[in-house]
Amino acid sequence: MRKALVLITVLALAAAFFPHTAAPVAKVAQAQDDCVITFLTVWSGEDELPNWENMIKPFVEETGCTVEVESTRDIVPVLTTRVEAGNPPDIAGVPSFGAIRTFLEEGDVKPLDYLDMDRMSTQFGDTWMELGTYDGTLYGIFPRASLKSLIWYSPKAFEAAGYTVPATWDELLGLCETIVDDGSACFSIGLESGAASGWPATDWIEDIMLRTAGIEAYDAWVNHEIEWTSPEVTRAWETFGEIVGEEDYMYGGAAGTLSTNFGEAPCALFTDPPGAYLHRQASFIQSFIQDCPGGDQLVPGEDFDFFLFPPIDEAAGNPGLGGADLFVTFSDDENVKALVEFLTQPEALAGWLQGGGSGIATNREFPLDLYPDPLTRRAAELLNSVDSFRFDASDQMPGDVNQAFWTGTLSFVENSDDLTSILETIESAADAAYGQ
Amino acid sequence: MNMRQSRWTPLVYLGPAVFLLFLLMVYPSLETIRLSFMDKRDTEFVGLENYDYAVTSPRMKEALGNNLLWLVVFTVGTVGLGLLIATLADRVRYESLAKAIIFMPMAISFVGAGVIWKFVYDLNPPGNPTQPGSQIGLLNAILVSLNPDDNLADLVDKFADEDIDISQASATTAIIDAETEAINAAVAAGELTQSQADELLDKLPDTARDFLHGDLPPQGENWQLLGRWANIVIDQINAAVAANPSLDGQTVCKIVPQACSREIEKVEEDAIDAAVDAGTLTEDRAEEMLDDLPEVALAYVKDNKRPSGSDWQTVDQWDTIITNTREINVRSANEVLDTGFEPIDWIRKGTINNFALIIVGVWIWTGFCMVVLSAGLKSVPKELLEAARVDGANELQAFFRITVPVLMPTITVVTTTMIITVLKVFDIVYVMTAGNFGTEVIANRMYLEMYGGDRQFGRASAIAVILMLAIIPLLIYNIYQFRKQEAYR
Repeated sequence: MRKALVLITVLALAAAFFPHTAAPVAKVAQAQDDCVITFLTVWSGEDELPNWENMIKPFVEETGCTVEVESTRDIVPVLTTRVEAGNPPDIAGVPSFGAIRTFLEEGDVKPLDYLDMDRMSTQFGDTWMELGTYDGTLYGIFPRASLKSLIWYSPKAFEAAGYTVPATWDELLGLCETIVDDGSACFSIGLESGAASGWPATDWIEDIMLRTAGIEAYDAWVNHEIEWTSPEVTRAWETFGEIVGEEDYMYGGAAGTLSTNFGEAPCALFTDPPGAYLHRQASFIQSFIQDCPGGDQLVPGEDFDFFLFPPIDEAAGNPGLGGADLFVTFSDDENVKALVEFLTQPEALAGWLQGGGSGIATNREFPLDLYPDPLTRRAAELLNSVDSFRFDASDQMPGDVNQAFWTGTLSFVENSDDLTSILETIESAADAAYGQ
Repeated sequence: MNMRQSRWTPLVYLGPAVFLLFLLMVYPSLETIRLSFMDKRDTEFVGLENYDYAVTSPRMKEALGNNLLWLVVFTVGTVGLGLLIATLADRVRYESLAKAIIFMPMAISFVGAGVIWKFVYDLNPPGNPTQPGSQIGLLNAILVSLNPDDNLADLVDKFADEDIDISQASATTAIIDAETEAINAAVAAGELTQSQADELLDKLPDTARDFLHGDLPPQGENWQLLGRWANIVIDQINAAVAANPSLDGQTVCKIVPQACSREIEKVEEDAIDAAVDAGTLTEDRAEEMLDDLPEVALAYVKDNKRPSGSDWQTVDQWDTIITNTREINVRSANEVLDTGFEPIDWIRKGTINNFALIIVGVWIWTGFCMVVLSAGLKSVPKELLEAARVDGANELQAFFRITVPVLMPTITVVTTTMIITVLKVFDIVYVMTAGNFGTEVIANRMYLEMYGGDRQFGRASAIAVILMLAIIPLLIYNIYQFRKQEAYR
């Protein structure tokens, strides 16, 4: 017992002395300037984070702040835990407002009213401002977007076969018929993506929905104001069926479509002879194309290129479908405000976008010549020129509906005759999820 | 020091275990049961709503059905195979080697096994005779290697047999001429160096001949028109047919029926659409007819089989269409040559995918059953078996009348252990199909309710409770059996 007492005394004395020797006086003086911004994100490791760090370098140098990054694959549960524990990150990149609705309602997310709204409106345009607004106040910014309404093809293969880029949906179907008669498949589609299998097909249907039912119906669909069994939604699926209902149109038929991983699907365009001639996917697929066998030899713009998903109904025009990184803040700290201000500046994103990944700056004053390659530059021009822009619908729907949507597309590709029962199944999931 | 045991002593020894057991087992179980009566965010009491969902929602019904299938096939498979292998291995000298090999999959994580078997079941798009795909999946590679090697050369020969002016040599020459021209153009345009072009031209005659016989050149060679070579041969055939005016479409249709049936389809499709617009055909009937049309048209061309039903719009024109069809395309040529097995999508095709997944489970767990049963076998008294044989029992009788009854307690324990395992099956399904394509199981549903969609804590907990309720009686029975065995020993 006595020994223990001695030990405790020694430890206590040590604890009392060491802090003084360990901490230099200079650092204590700096303490109030010492600023750390915590940032929660789904990005990790090799791809995105270095680009992000590259981008915020000017901000870090100017303010002396450090941005501490926490990466998680499972951002919503982590964010929920941290917000509810009273320890939210200062800034977070989240998939959509839908995912954080409760935090918006309960006032955990801080308004961005300190930004110069006139400047924001001019630089970002109404679409992005509206998307970032909740209940009349701006809460989120979308510095970087991707464009999904793209159909990829090989200009070289097109030239060799004498095909031309279709300008309308009917021309596209005609082109498919020609390609198939010539012995190849028209589209290479890959729906395999583990537990999220089916998502590329939801993008197809969304693109078609925008072009057949129009923007208002699309928004109504997202909010479940029209049912999945409505004529508008049914027609979008049926139109998709004009491609996936035809066994010959898909590379490997339905079985090939279901079993091919989404990232490998474009590779069929670049074999010799080509297995298929067209591939519909977002701008990010460029890096996957260059990962295909022999893909490092492919030259953007010559060996592979894209055109905008063609219009279907004239009345619906030619809207763009896409996604974007949404940033929201959970702090009123001046340094966090400064970081948000920085992220909305026209040239701030250069370091980020130049790292690859085919991101597009939503700030219209971002100089086009800062894009790293011609295709991304063209995608940026297209994004700024589409009639209107809409977010990926499935990402905005409740998780259960999104899942039912994914699964439904798989059943549809398997057997397009089952459409009615597929839509009824999704509708019942939606009925339960939106009602809650 | 006082050596007398204080009455706190047992508590000190027991304490940590009880505390950990409570913290890690009892508390979570009680919390799960509580959550199963709450809504998805644990804010409102919802009574039995989650349990209702867990037994009536379509995905859960599917999961329950599949778990039952797993229960039967997996348990019978593992225990049956385990017993069979244990018995057979008992009689050979290399017993330990055989058992080690069968047991080895147990050393692989289930996720790993799922990934490995995903490769075994892998499906690549099969391509067609002029553009064959390759299968990296073991099963499909075997299946496709059994296919007859039909190719363009066969098609050319069939036309040559009908007195049409074409031969394999002229078809090859057509490819060589077109490709040579394209290579020279590419050199002129600076896309190829002269030495690259010379190398290609050198290989061209052999490559073109191989192509005609169904072999594609290796990827990455700079062929300019490779995608069109099949078309060039088909164009050559069409030109030869056109050059012989005395020949009618009958001959073409005999060799390539699909070329003619597709022409019929086009005409009939338009006529059906027109009939629907005019109101003489109902939409439902039209849809049905359009579904049947390819088959009907092909049967007409091949076997002159007239379609049943009087509402086909253009049957009287079909003979004329056949007579007038004097052109084929690559698609129809491929369809004629494509006579072999299609590779099978083992893990997505409705009727077989559940069994494909169960086989993976059996592959992993058979070793476990075998080892336990094998240990049990050693305890079957040799004298009993010998006495039976002396009495004239054959080996089957000795096995079923002596070995199995003596082994019964062990078999029961192994079986209940397998049932507990199979009720919880998750990894294999999650990795290989994620529960899609009709392969849903209870544990996967539980995971997806929790983390996949809206984080339905209530529903996931209700499913977990149901799973727990199903497993607990088996556990109790298992422990009871273990005790009985211990006592027996």
